[in-house]
Amino acid sequence: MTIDERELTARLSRVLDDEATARPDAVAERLRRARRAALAGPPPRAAWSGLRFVPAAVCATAIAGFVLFAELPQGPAQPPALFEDELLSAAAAAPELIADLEFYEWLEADGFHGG
Amino acid sequence: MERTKAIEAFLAEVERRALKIAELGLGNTDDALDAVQEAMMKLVSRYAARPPPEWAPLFYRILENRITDGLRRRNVRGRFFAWPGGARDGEDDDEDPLARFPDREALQPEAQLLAREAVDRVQDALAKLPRRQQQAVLLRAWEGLDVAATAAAMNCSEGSVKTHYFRALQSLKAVLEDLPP
Repeated sequence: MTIDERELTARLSRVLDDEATARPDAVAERLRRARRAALAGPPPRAAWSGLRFVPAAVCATAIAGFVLFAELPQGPAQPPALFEDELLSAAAAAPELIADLEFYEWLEADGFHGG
Repeated sequence: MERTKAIEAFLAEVERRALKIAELGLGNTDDALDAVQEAMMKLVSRYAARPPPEWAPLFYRILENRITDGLRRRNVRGRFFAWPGGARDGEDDDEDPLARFPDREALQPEAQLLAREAVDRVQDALAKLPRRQQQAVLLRAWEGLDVAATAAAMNCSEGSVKTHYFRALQSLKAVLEDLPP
């Protein structure tokens, strides 16, 4: 025997209704309190409540400052740069380009009046 | 003043069903109560001025977000603080397990047993559903929201609601058919 959707939902609702209404008193009381609390609204905030994060912010700043201060002089020595001059670095990468650049620099300095 | 009374009446009407939905999502009553309370507070503080027909989808959407947050927090906690063989979340050694069951002294023992069995079977079947199907069937069939309101509550399209709802009913059919009419 199959039953239709209306009958299915009616049976489901009946079982769940029975279960939802037969609550222990403690649970019903907690629901009542929750409803009253919701209707009463959130408790008013104290005037100084906006300052409650100040101690944490001061501590965080102090710690960050200390870490930075302690880190600077004791930091590991930087390894010497292989090519301190960008031109040398570029020359190592593309010698033809540098040769061309030197040629055009010479040509410009010469003033184009050679030919 | 009228608005306050109206929203109080709305909350009083939905709170028990909302608690059950949250319990099914979160698996324990304490977390479910917290989720329901947070949803109530947010609805009142942010959406009380909206038209009353919008309250139900808004409330259930907030509740669903709280349930998702709770599950996510639990996953994170479980990942970092899991103890092998430890107690499940929400289980307390001092808690009296009988306190969880509703007071059914008014029922005859046999009827009481059958009612308990029916509830357990339906809850088990609902708990086995994928989360979205569970939401769709609870909001549509139990809470009585229409497709559009359910879609708003679930933050999905109406087509998705219909699909989830149909599949959920198909899965629940075997269990529900055996229940006494």
